[in-house]
Amino acid sequence: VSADAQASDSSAGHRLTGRGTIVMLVVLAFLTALEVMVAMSHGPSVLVTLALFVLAIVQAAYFLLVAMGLGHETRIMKRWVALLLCIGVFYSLVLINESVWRSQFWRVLRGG
Amino acid sequence: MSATAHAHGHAPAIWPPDRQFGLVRPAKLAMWIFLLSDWFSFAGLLLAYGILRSNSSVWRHAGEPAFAVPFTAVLTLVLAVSSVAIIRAFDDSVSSNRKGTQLWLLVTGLCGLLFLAGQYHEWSGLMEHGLIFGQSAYASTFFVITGFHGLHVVAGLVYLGFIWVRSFRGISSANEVQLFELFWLFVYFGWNIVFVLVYLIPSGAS
Repeated sequence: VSADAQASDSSAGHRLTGRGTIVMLVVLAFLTALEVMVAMSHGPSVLVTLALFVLAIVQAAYFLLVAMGLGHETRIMKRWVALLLCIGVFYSLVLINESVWRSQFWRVLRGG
Repeated sequence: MSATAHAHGHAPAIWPPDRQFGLVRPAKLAMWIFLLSDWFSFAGLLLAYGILRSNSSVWRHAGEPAFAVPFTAVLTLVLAVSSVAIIRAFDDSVSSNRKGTQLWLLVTGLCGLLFLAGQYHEWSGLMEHGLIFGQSAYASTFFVITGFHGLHVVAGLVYLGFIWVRSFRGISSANEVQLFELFWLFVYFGWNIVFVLVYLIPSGAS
């Protein structure tokens, strides 16, 4: 890879300048504070958990796109990264739900 | 192949030009592939955590200490500051500002060390209060997941030291800093997920 190509690749990536990084820090601090406040609220456990999931996804997506610069990468790169990240989450959710249903099934069987 | 195609009367396939080919440097692509494979390691641990937790009627047993959420939130902010610092280091390295790059790399490293010191403090405090590895799924998953993340911070600090020395000797490039930046930002990305899933989701204990 030539020096020119390397230079253009570096500059083609995300380059958050002073103001951009401060905005990013404020957003991350705000989202973290919001997550802590939601976790410490005395709402129904299911609602709190759901809200925390949503906040975690929002923060992760913001961080990926802005801080890690995925928003400035090529279209194909964005798609592959998003696809692989989602596969991890989806596969985890499927297996967790499957295990919950399996354990419920055995409980019902034993109870019956 | 082409001769075979002609022999069978087919015209050779002409693919349209790929406008995105070569736009991403191989080293950067390799780092993304590594980070995604690392993501699956995190996902595997969090999957085990999810299965254990969703199948347990009582997650945190009586007598087991709760995690110090406000303290860990401060540690999360320390990592966020280090993320900002590494982005500034990359920005300065692209502008060929060596002093600025070294300064921001130093800030990144100090924040990383502060985070590790905080984790050590938290671990020792929890162990003093009776949270022992292997005692329960609550304890084991906590130590394994946060320990796995802590190993990433340690690896990042070693990597940072390597980059910092090269920058000091004037032989590091912006691309090297960018690769490290991606790794370090992934450390925060992973921590954000761990913080929410392990620390914040209500444990339902008294």
